[in-house]
Amino acid sequence: MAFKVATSPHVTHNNQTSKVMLTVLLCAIPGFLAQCYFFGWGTLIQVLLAMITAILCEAFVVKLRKRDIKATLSDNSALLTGLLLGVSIPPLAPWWVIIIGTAFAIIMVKQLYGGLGNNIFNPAMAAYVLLLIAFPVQMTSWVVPNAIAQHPADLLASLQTVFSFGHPDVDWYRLGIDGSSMATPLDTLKIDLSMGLTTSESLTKAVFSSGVGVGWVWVNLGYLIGGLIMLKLRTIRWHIPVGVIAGLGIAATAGYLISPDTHASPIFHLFSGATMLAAFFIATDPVTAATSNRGRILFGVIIGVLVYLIRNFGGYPDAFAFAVLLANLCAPLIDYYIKPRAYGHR
Amino acid sequence: MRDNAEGILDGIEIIKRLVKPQRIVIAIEDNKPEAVAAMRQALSRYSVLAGNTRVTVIPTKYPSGGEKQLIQIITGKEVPTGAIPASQGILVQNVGTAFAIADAVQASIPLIERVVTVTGNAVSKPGNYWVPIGTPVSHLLQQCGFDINNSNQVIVGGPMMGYTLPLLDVPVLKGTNCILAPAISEFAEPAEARACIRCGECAQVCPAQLLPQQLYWHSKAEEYDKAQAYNLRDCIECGCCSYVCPSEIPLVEHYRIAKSAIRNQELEKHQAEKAKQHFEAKQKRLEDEKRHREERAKQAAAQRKVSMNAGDKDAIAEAMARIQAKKAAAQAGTAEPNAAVQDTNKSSQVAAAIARAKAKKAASAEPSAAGSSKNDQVAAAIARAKAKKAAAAQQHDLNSDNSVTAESADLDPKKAQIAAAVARAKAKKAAAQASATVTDASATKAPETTDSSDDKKAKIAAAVAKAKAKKAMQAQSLEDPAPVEAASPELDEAATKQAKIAAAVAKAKAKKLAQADIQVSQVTVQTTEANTGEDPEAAKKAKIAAAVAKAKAKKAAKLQDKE
Ligand code: SF4
Ligand code: SF4
Repeated sequence: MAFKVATSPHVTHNNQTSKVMLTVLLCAIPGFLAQCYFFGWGTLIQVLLAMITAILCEAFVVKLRKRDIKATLSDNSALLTGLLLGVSIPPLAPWWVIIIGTAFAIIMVKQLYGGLGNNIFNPAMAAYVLLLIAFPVQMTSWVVPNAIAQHPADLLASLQTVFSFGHPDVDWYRLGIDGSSMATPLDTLKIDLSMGLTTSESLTKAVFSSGVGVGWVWVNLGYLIGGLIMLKLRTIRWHIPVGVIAGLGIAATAGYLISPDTHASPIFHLFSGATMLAAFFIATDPVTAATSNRGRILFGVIIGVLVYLIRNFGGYPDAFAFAVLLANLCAPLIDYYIKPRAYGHR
Repeated sequence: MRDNAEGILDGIEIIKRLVKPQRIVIAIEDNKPEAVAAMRQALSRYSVLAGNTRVTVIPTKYPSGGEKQLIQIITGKEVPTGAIPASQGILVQNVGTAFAIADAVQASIPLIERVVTVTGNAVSKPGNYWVPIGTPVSHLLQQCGFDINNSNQVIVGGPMMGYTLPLLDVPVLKGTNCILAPAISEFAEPAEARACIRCGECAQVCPAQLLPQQLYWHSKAEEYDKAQAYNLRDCIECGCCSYVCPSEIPLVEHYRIAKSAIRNQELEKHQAEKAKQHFEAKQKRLEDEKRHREERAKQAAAQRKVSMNAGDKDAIAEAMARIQAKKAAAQAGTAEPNAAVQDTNKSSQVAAAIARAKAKKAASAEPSAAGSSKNDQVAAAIARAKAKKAAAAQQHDLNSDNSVTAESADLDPKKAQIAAAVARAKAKKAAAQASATVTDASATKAPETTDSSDDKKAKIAAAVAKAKAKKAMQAQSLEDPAPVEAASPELDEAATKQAKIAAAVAKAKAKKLAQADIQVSQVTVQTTEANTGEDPEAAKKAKIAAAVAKAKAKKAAKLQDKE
């Protein structure tokens, strides 16, 4: 009989790319739920929209490239991109914003560079930056967290807002114009600081104390938990998250010590905005990160420090998208200069 | 190990005696506690080894069995890349080897059998067996209850690094440690490889601390130089990276391909280098041979020449001489006069040159001696005149001779006569002209000079000129004696007569000339004496001129005597 001839090793670990991606998706659930709880149905709608768009776009491009559609889609990477972009944009942003963003992420940033594994930039973050620059108004209008909103937006209202059809409740509609949409804590702090208020004065405002800030903290905590689970499952390694958190934390501490009145505390920085989401779910995208352990720590630190700098001195309230893209640019350089010493090379 | 601990320790003892190590470590993985216990027990009975031998339990972590990895686990040292463990003073031996050594030395049993582990779900009686080397694998599997229908591959070696057998009719070798016969369901079908997501899992597990994802990237792109820059060489092909890769990329396969490609490249380079050397050596050899051949040919030619000089060449030379003589005889009428004419030209040219040189010398002497004596000036004038004359004569000669040559188509012996006559006429004319010129010159340059002295000078000049012409004629005859002689039989009497007459004239002239020269030289000498105080150089020149004049006079006298 004919025997199968194969090269060693003849066994492999039961650990596949699709599983890795799926694990990441599942680990994002705590943070995602927290986001849904505080910001309403809009988040879910956005995420679903993004995922569907991502899969369709991926299938389309893969078909154009005459590759195996099923094999490509089954790696779940498109879903992950959709999720990351979906949770990043304001929950009640118009439907076309997320669709444009996702299509851009999948088609331009990922597949045009050769598909999974070959893209230079993190697709979700590149798309986020595109949307932020193209649609600044829609991209910075975050709804008031449900906890303090007098009229929490129900599913229908959310759908109506996102897809702009029907006639939502007048009150809700009005609120949607001037009441339900509100700056994020980071925004508020930035504006207040520019108006001459000190950090502590700014932090006494309702946006921080009465639940909005709390909402953001919970969301961040949710992503932190998911991240820790991933670490435990060895889905990701500790180097990048630790690098990001350390970079941001150290930079924030330094700033806070130098001038507490004009700089927010490190805790505030770590638990507002997209810090944990970025540290555990976005920056750890292996494709666009450095590959060696030391290189990854450096990669994380670069992101953390850049985030702090842009949050404090840049024109945008949150900075993870920019920081991650800039660090993506550095990754090949880091890989070139930081190589682990191979066995026997002292 | 459990069964043969003593034999192993015997082998270790022999090795110890041979290499005299400081320390002996028996490393056993921690999943074999019985083996550890058995070895420890046996070791306690060995007083020879007791001092510096210990049994160390190491974690069961693939690929700790690799030589370099084992060294790292036990000593913390790393074997430098490209070196062998012995360079660090470390020797790694298998327990099987130790046992075989003991067998060979103590019981004189050569290595004819070994322990083979047969395992896998496709065999019903897995276990460790003593198998004679050379046993067919098919037989061994049969004995172990191999279910051929439940298997599609048989692997020699472990699951990570073993190789598959294409068929079972192969023998067990001395390196065959394990035969793995997995059931069809046991090992998952290798899935389609996906794109590398650069997750770095492979780098985390690589025992050589390489970056397998970069190696993969460059190997796949066939950028072997870059792959080597990432130390592809240090990959031990353990398979860990392929094992963990979530994209199920057969990384090791890529490395094997890259490595063999690099090996081939190096081999090719090596062979090309060798071929080049061969080619160059051949080229050199050919050149050497060529040179040798040429040298030999040259030698042979030289030898031939020597022998020819001895005999053949003489004969040839004689023959050539004869031929020439014949030719000369045949052409005597035309060729000889021509030759003579040419020779005349030559000699007259020579004379002219000498005269010119003299004139120049005299001229240079003149300025410094100016005003010292009229005679000096006169001498200079004479010299100049002579030069002119000689030149003129030469030209005339040339012209006339040329015409003579042109006319001498009918081989007339009279030509020679005519030529001689013309030459004489020319010479006379020249002399007349010369005297006139000289007179003029002296008249202009020295108006106060008396007529008598003028006459005298003119005469002298004329004489000199004539003598010159004579000399030229004579020189011709002197310098070309052979042709003249060869031609003489054919010259008629008139020519001979002519020659005689010329000779007589020449004699007369020479006499005169001699007198004149003496005078001139006296004058010159006087001048010189007068001038010595003033200008030594001028004096020297003057002296030289005088000497030349004297020599000429002598020559003339001699010639005259001769004839
Ligand atoms: S383990 Fe596989 S997918 Fe991950 S970096 Fe290595 S080669 Fe790429
Ligand atoms: S096979 Fe893979 S893990 Fe093993 S040494 Fe080579 S690169 Fe490293």
